[in-house]
Amino acid sequence: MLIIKKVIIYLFKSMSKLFSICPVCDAQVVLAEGVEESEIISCSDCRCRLVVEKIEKNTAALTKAPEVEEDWGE
Amino acid sequence: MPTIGLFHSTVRAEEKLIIRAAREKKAGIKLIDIRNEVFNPLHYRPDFDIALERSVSTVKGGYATEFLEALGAVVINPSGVARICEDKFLTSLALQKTGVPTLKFAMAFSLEQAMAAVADLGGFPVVVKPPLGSWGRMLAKVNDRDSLEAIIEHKDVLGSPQQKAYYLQEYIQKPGRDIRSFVVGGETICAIYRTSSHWITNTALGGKATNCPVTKELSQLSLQAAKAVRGGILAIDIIETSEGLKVNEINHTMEFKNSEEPTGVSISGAIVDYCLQKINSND
Ligand SMILES: Nc1ncnc2c1ncn2[C@@H]1O[C@H](COP(=O)(O)OP(=O)(O)OP(=O)(O)O)[C@@H](O)[C@H]1O
Ligand SMILES: [Zn+2]
Repeated sequence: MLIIKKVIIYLFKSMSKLFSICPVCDAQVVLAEGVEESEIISCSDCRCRLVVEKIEKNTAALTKAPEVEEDWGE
Repeated sequence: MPTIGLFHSTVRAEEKLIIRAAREKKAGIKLIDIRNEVFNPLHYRPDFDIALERSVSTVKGGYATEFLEALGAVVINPSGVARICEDKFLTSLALQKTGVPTLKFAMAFSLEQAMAAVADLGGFPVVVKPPLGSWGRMLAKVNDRDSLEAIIEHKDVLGSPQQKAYYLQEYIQKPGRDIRSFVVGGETICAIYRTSSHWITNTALGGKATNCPVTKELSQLSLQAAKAVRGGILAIDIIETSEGLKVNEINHTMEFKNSEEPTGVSISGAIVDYCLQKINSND
């Protein structure tokens, strides 16, 4: 019984997670909880820096992040 | 509900902390990616009570601020503050003019003038910086005339027009660390030491952040510096010299993600409170 409950919780949790595909290496990317659009993340496979362009239900559109520009800073 | 318009480009950890702080305080927060906006004064309708400018791009952030102010919106930090803080030479001038202890500095546009400036500053080593740079990029500690020549030739051949204005500072032998204090609305809320074995101690480049007690001296110097540039929400970079604390430079869209934990102070919370306070005082 307990195991079934755990499996259901696991399935539920994984369903609420955001998944996407790395546009550089095609690996599956799992996005952290609380991720925001316009945030920069990195692909755990190829380590490319990626921009979270748009978040929809349980997926997100990712693009390769731009190089740092000369006027970037604090 | 009072609403903060958070003008951003790339969302950094800092922006996420600000968003979270606003939600916790039940303040409205509207995320506005400036790269998705059309800033046309005939059509733009601000739908927030105050704008918080947090763009990673200094140029875009600067234009957004000027635009919003032209429409009558209140922007934190205001354009006047941003214009001074984004430029190290203007910051030095503002500090010097108001008598805030700061490093000796000069600007020159050619090698011979730069050599004369070095002599004025007390000789080598000096530090050469792009006036508009950040994150410790392209800073150079210059030990002799040969290196100065090489650096200036590089900038002359490869640099943008901005890079061809040489901002020079005396080099300070510091105790392996510098200080960053945070000023929000006329109060020094906390400070960190940035420690590194390299003379460039920026945490973005691997320097370590630890709590720095806010002494009366540190607090007063920070407030004086903030007043000199008429801010707002600022991070003041301070160096410990043999003649006491001196202000190196000031940041107007400061990064602070590594500073909340060691100081135990919610910098993001203070930023949100300051914005809410400004909304109330402008009503
Ligand atoms: N004249 C100097 N003498 C000694 N150390 C210096 C000098 N100027 C800068 N540094 C060190 O170099 C680092 C970066 O300096 P500075 O803040 O001027 O550059 P920056 O690119 O604007 O960085 P940030 O984005 O952190 O503001 C700091 O750790 C500072 O202590
Ligand atoms: Zn990848």
